[in-house]
Formats: sequence, structure tokens, C-alpha cells
Amino acid sequence: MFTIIEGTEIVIARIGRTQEEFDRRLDKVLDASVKLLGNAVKKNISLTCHSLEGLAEMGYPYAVRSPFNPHPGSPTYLVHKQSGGLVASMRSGVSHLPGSGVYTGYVGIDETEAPYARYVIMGTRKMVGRNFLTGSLDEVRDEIFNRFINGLRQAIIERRM
Amino acid sequence: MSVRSLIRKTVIEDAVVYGLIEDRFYPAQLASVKSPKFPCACFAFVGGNPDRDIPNFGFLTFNIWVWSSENFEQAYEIYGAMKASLNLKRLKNAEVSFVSNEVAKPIENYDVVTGDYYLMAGWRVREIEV
Repeated sequence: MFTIIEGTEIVIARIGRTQEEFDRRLDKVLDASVKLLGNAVKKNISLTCHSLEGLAEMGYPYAVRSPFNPHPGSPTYLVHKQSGGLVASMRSGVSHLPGSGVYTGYVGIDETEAPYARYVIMGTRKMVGRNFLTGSLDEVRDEIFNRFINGLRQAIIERRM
Repeated sequence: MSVRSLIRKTVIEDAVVYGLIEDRFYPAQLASVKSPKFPCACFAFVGGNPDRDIPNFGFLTFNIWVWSSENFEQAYEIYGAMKASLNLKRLKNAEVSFVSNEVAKPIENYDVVTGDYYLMAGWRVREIEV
């Protein structure tokens, strides 16, 4: 005795269309999320409130002799813009293999253009590190999470209609 | 005892870690430490967020640095011991309860001025206040 299940091809086709809808939605969310993170990083490494001379007058706040946050109440990972080279070396991208369910986006620094970036982020024995990449990600993590949740929700709602 | 104190206590009470760096696991960036003795390690918090749904729950991100004046191998040996003592361990006292885990593998740097070999890894604390 056996049972014939009819209509499986319809179900499979619907699952495929749902996956496509998820991909379409989440690709947009991924692009927007990377832009959001990129803007946060850019903001955090573009401070113009203190020049090199101004930081020297303050007693070199990132130096070993007397490290302190020159912006009380603000994150400790902010970086002042000097030549603009650090901002110019920012790189971002997205990757997604359709149907895989894995969406990857990144924002980083091209060290061939800004080899000193590693010293800024990691610090040295004589200079405190300012990890503006992790700090910026912390700032927007909830927003990115919410965008993905809403994107999935919209994809499901649209498939029901 | 704060999250910071409990992390430090847990790591330096590990026999393998103690054998490598004794209690030189400083709770601040090395530039803030007066006359550090090598090899050593340090950690500092970057940021964090409260949980979006659960009260009294949140996470913190921090970095761990390991410093060697010898070579990267020594730095990795120390980092490996520290990771074994801390990664995914539930730490708890009367004030806090949390789990910390590595979220970014170590990146390397060599300071040509001071001759320091050092690593920096990303870590996260998922914290529950008790």
C-alpha cells in the first residue's frame, strides 16, 4: 500500500520563489547595512575638532606619558582626520551566493594605502589603540539586526499576499 | 567584583597562563601601564549594548593584546593559554554572571621602533546582572 502525494512540484516552486523573495529583500538590506556601517566608520575617523598642533598642546592625549580621552563622554576610539588618507583607504563590499542563506558584508581599511592603520587600531607600547572598526560596528549592530528582521518579515508578508 | 576584575582573576589564576606571564595581565591598554614587564598581556573594553529584549542583559566588546619582546611564537603560546582559560567559560560571582568568547582571531603587528611583537584579538562578553 502506498500513498501518492500530488502537488509537490507546486510546493517546491513556491519554496523557490520564497527563497528568491528573501534574497531580493535581504540583498537590499545587506547593501544598506554596509552603507550604514561605512558611514559610522567614516564619521568616527573624520574628527576635525583637533589638529596635530592642538593635540600636542593638549599633551598628546593618546601617548604613553598621559593617555586620556580628549572628548570626555565620547567613545575612546575616535580618530582625528589629518591628511584624509585613512578615510580614503576605506573599502567595503558584499557577497551572497543566491540560495545559500548566507549574506556577508564588510567595511575595512586597505592597508596598502594606509599601512599605519594597524598601529592606530592596535596601538603600540607608547600609544593607545583606537579600534574604530569594532566600535563603529557596536554602534550600528542593533540597527543592522533590526533591518534584517524587518526585511525577512516583509518577505514573508509579501509571499502570503 | 566587576566584569573586568573577574576576567583578570580568571585568567591569571590559570596555572598555564601564570607560568607564562605570572600576573602581568593588565586591565588597560599597555600605553597606560607604567613600566610593563614583558612578556605580558592586557585587555580593554571597546563598547557594547544592552540586549534589545531581555532586561539586565547585554554584551560588551573588548580586545586582548599579548606582547612579546621575543617573537610571535611566544605571543601565540600565551594567547592560546589565555583563550583556553577564558573562552566560553561561565564566570559568576555575587554581582555578575557572564560568558565571554573570542569573536575575532588575533591580528599581528610588529613595532619596528620598540621591537615589540604583539597580537590583538576581539572578544565579547554576554552579561547577565545578578
